[in-house]
Amino acid sequence: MKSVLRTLKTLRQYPSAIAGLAIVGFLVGVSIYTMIAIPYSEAIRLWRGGAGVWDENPRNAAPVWYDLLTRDSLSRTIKVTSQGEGEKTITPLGDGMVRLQVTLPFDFSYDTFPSEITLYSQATYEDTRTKFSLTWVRPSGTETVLVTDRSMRSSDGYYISQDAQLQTGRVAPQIGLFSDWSLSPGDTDRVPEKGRYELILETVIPEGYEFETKLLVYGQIHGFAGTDNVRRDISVAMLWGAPLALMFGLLGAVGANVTTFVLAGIGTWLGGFVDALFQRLTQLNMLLPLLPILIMIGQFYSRSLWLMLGVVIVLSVFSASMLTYRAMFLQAKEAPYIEAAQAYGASNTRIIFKYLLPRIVPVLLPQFVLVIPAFVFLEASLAVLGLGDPLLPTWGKLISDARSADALYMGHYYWMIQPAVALMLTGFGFALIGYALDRIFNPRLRTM
Amino acid sequence: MTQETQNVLLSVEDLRTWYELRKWGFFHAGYVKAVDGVTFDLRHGQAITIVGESGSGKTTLAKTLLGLVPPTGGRMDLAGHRYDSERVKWLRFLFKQSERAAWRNKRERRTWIRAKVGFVQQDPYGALAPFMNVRKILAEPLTIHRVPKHDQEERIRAVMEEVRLTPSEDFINKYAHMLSGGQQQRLVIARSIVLEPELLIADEPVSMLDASVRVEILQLLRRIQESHDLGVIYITHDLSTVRYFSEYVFVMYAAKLVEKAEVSELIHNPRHPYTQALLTAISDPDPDNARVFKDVPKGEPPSLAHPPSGCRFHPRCKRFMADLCDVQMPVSFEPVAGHQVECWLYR
Repeated sequence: MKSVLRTLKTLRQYPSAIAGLAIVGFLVGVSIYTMIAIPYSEAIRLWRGGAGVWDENPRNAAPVWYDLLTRDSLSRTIKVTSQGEGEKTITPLGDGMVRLQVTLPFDFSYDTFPSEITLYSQATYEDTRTKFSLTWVRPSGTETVLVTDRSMRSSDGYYISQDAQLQTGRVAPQIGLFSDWSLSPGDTDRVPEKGRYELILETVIPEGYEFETKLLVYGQIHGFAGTDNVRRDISVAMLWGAPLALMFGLLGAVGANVTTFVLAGIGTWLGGFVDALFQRLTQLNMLLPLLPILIMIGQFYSRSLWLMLGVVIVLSVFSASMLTYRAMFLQAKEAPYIEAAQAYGASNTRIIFKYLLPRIVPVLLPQFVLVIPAFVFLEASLAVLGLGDPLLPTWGKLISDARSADALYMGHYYWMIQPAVALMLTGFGFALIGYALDRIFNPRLRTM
Repeated sequence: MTQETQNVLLSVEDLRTWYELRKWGFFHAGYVKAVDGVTFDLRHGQAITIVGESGSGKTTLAKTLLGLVPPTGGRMDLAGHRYDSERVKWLRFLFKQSERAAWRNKRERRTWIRAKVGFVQQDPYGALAPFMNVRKILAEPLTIHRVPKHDQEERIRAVMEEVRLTPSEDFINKYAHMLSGGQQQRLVIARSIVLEPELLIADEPVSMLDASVRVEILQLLRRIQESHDLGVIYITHDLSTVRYFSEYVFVMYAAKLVEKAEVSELIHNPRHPYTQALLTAISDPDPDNARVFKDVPKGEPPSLAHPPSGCRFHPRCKRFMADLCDVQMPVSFEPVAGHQVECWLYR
């Protein structure tokens, strides 16, 4: 314990190690924050929830930091509801019917057009179709009637930006509605009009029933990581990717590397049958192809992240590093202090764990730290190969989704770059620490 | 005579330690007979020296006596308790209850022996675990032999006083590499006596130390031996350090003890031609030595896998008698009382 503290103190002398510690510390901080702020079940809901959960997110929106790179301020999603900012006017018509007028006002002050406009409505009456008409009022005062007497179910959505009747020439509805109406359809060089817009909805509904409506003006940027092609918030996966990656890396490194280390120590010390058995197992295992086995398991059994981790650990316990450690232990076990320990009666277990293993730990530690990102990358590789966990939001899964959606080709580079940078940052952080530890524990490198 | 037998601490009879040679990993291909028919008695509080060249089997003898290497045959009794060749039979141990019980008893016997025998090694730095501090190094044997924690500290301070690692506060938290060679070796000695053994085996304890601290370490060992009435087996290749130490000297050549005598007797009247050669080879700081040609035995020590027939020294012996020395193994003769020599010259 003391020696570990001493090592950490020595680490301060290496700026690269401080940078590495900062990166890893940041990742750990993000992980802790994520697991507290977005509990596991909530994360799964947000990630796998289906269309209902993602309705209010724009599709393929860029991250908000993208706004900093552009001169124009990019539009963000605006949501106006009849319960909130909207104003409701009810006029009785007799015969048990009322005329309802809902005004949905909102301020638009961005330099770019919204990506989509959708109006959702929700009414308490059933089976009855009613008709409604919509009027769009621009800041300049010009009005456009969007629809008149459009029939509507009790729970309905009107996708204004997809209404072909509102398209003028090559100008999409959301552009036409937000720009100067007097421009000719051929004029595609438009800027949005800034100021207060209003959408006025008029309908006739049975008396005593509730009617609520919600206008969504989708922006071009959303969240710190953007959204994907099914309106999923990428930031959920970016955040949850950190604890999952760290856990996978750490468990993998502990499970595979430390077990290999301990088994190599036991085998080398006991020698004879045990040693021979471990060596044969290692030689056999080195012939087994890891990836095809994983692909087979993924195809035929399960693609659970933890199952994959388990298989990877089991298959890498008797890996080539077993032979490396064995070579080190063969040298270490001849040390006179071990003979002395035998002479004063230390048991085999005590010699292995108190005399043999601590001797090699300094060599193991840097390697161990460097193995962690290897496992993180392995998870990403598996995901890209289509063996990612179908449930969990991991960085590898993001890359995999982005690849299958041709994100780079479509220009949604943030979708693929962000998880890739996160992966590289993780690898970089651990590598910086690992190499610094290596320099501390392997004095030969110190002079170089 | 009865009193003398009672007083015997370690009795070794016809002890043999042979390492098996294998061809292709499994075919038997003979033995390296590192210790071959060694017999001696060691009384309580007696110090003996075993002297011999490199490869004569001294270290194997030490390891056999410590129970680190299983003997191939013969008998070893420590204070009336016998310890023989024993091997942990892995698979049988795993499956048979009775075997397990028997093994446990054997293990208890072995730990008992290990508490009774202390071991001082040649290379003090290598003999100390680099990742343990002085307290831990000295506490390990106590922990293994179930000495309660609160008694350990007291015992550790006591042995540190004894080997003059004082004041103990200055040393107790240090690591081996922070100590000088002499201090390291004193720590090794402290560790070897921390369990209050009755027998101390010192395998070349000073050969890796500076000449200036050699005498100091040997005197320390001598003082400890006297104050605890320890039996000591001092193994060395250097006859010049013998007189600091022991009453008795055994000369070992090619896995056998060829001459046993008291120190002064052996130094003044060496009987075996090999002992005579060894004594001639001692370098005294005398300027005349530069001009004197030393008559050291020709050739090299024999291979222990294929030792010469008859007397093992005969190919290098100046007083070789044909048809006797190269045919028959010499038996023990006693030309003077208390001076035994295995050489046909004294038949």
